[in-house]
Amino acid sequence: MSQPDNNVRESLSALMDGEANELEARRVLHALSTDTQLRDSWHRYQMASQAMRRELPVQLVDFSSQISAALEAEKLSTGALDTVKKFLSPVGRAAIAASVAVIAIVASQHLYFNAATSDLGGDALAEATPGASGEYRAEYQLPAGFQAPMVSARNVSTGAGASANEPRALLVLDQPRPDALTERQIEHYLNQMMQAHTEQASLNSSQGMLPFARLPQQQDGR
Amino acid sequence: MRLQRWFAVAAMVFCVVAGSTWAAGDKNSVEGLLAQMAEAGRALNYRGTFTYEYGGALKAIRIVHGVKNGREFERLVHLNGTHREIIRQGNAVDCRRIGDLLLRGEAPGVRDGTYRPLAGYYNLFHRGEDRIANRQITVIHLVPRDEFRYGYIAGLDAQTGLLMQLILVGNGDRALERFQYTDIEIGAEISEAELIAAEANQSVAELDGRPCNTRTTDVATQVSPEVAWRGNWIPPGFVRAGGADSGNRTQSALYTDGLAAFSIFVDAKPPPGVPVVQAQRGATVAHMSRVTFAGQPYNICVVGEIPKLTAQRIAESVQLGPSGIGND
Repeated sequence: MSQPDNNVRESLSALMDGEANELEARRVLHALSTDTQLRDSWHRYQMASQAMRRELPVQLVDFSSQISAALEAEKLSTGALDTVKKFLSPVGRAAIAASVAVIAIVASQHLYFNAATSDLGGDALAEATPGASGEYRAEYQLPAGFQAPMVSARNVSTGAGASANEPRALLVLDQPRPDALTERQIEHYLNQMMQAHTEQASLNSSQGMLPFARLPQQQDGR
Repeated sequence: MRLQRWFAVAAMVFCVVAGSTWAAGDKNSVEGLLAQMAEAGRALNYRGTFTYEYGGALKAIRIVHGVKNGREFERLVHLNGTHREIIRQGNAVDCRRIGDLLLRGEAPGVRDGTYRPLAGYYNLFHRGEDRIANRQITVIHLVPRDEFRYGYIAGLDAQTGLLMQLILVGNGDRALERFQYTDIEIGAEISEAELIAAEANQSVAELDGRPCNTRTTDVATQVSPEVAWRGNWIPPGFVRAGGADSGNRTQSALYTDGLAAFSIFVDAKPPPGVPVVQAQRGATVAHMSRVTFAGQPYNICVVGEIPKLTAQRIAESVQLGPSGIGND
């Protein structure tokens, strides 16, 4: 296929961002129906955006070609559908294919989350009795897809001295937010506990120096 | 509908692909690698720099680790922020502590016969090769079998087994923290000068060698001569690995399953005005709760690299009683 011209690419990008006007959308959809290269770009953009939102399924299986083939083979015979088809084709076809792809991805993700990681499943945790917990959910795990996940990012301050500021422990209180003094006390208290935990963990678990990396800054030295 | 048929086919394709990934895991070799990892971190000489990353923060830390006359020496220098150093010295290199033993599939001093090796609590997978700090590594993936612990992706040096990368994986495949070497020299000669703190006036935490604790039962659970405590619920696979009496105020016990670790603190004199809180920093959570026994308030605090609900459940299971309650 020929190199898609820049206008179409720009429109594609705008469509991704939800900023395409009707004309651009039509142009892209028209180009998509003929241009495989552009279709691949669209696919890549979608994947990238899903990866950024951490919505990628465990295994990437590309259904789009099968689905297109299925839709192609499908004879839409009922009168009502024919009318719809006349109006919407090829836009409608692309839209149906897209929605099917979305459903497929959502469905597989659902399966994956249920199976592999419900680490904070509150109800399940409450129901597990200490006696039975050894056998608990033992065989339910599917291997998670091996893409090293990204460390969840926060807004990072770039101001002077930013490197010295670590994110503070998030406090979840079961009572009204305390005043600043109390908050400092809590933090100090928790840091003491973390320090003690670190020293014990470094000696007794097998994570070596890692506990020391975890130590909050203000309490590292004694 | 044809569409439905395609759906069925798609679901089958997914299952087959997922299944084959499962089958690719080689448990025996992963267990061997973990045992090697437990040994390598202690017994080797190495110097390097690693990064530690969580919640948008990145720290860089320089490490020098050496073995002299059968004893371990280690110096950690924080390269960002305030200058801080941590010096550890004198731990016997052949000391196999509880965590190491658990990684080797041994369960020292577990009396009730319920303990299973690590593979009873994690699904172990071999995930192939990668390159970190210019060295070839073997990547292994530990997926927890229950929701009481986190998962791990670990990169081990292919040559020596040294841990080069560790990602703690929480709920929904979210990385809670990542530790990773950026450069390392393994097997180098380490001079004594490298293992002492740069300047005396810097913030240095010196941790002396402690007796090699390889038993799980020699931990006091007394809060005071009259009062003792015990945790009525400990997640399966966790073994008591140590404990400390930090001052005369707090009693603590450390539990580990070989990878994850948490401590239970029982504070007989909680500071006034500190409310019951739950906190999280990176992968570390702290859950506090309060118990009154014989008219006296006690603070229970569980700190560790475990899910919040696990910490909460452990804290809530802690029971105080008259002396001797913990000895059954």
